[in-house]
Amino acid sequence: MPEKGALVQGTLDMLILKTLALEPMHGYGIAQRIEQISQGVFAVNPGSLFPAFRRLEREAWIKPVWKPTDNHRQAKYYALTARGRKQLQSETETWGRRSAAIARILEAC
Amino acid sequence: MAIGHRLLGAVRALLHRRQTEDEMDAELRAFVEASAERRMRAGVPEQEARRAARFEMGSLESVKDGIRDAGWETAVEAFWADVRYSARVLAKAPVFTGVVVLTLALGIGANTAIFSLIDSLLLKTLPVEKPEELVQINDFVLTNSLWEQIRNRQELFSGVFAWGSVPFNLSTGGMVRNADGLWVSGDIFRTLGLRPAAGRLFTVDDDRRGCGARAVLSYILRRVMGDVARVLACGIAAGIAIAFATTRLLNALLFGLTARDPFTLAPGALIAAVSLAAGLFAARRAVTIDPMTALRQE
Repeated sequence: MPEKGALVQGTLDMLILKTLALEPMHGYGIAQRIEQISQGVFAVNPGSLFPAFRRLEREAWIKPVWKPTDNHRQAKYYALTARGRKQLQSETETWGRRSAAIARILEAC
Repeated sequence: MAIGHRLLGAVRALLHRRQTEDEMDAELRAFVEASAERRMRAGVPEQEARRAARFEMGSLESVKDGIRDAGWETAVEAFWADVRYSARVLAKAPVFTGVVVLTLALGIGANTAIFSLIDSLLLKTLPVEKPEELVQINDFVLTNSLWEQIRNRQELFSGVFAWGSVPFNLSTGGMVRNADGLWVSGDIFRTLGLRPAAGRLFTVDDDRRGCGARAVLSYILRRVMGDVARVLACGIAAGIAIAFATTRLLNALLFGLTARDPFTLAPGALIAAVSLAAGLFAARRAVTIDPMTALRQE
């Protein structure tokens, strides 16, 4: 397994929103999904993940949903809201522009 | 609105603090458990899996602090804790608190009162219609016949009036109780555009030889004093508030303080600075006053 690295600064919110675009998930599921899909390049640590949930919840981009788990306990899942979907779209666009610009700069030199 | 949502969320978190904390605990516990389970499924022995999961979470308290800090309710709570703490500290030293609060309250209150008196007497424009069009002519002896000539012949102004100040004795017997009063000509109130609060004012018709004595009572003093009292109350309230705020600071500074310490002079310096600022401002405005506003002192 390649070495796990920190996230690119300022992208955590976008990655969480993107992960939730598919289906509601709980905290560990989101962390796992980001790690898996990035093929282990990004590791999300709980110390930044949970404050991000609180922040996104306050922005009303995600909302908590309590669901029973496999072992019959209530677990806190997060679901994307309509506002969150809009936010994800705008952040994705911004990110696309930025990364394309960085790629262009790196190729030019 | 995003702000509305944030506000609502924070208020909810403040009101249901217990519940919010419980939910946070449950959520973090679930995370650790899920992490441990996944490790166990991958073949790690239970003990080690749990240890690794806890390690991954790190300090539970610092994660929780991070979550709490994501909203602004921690700031509110910290502020409230500060308020309670300072109240406790102040209650422990009632004499010190009393002296500081009283000094600041009186200092600021007195200054605002003096300023408001000067402000209402000297700084504000006269409470009449078009005060900028008023012209005062004096420094010569104006006899009644001369006045009547001016009154009947002048074409320069929209109105003219004359006055002379005289103390009136208000007492019905015994000790003399003088009130400052004015003899005025009939057109004064129309010229100044004043309206009576009750009854009626003089008109030109009242101003003829042989007319009966008529008087208009002013309650300007009461009004000014009302203004002053209001401002004084505000000043004292502000004084108490500032006093409470600064005593907290002073208390912290007073810890291990000697009498020669410059910090001991802080309250005095603060009061002096406030007084000086208020006094200077009032004085600076006062010396630039148009002499016409002296009329207001009637």
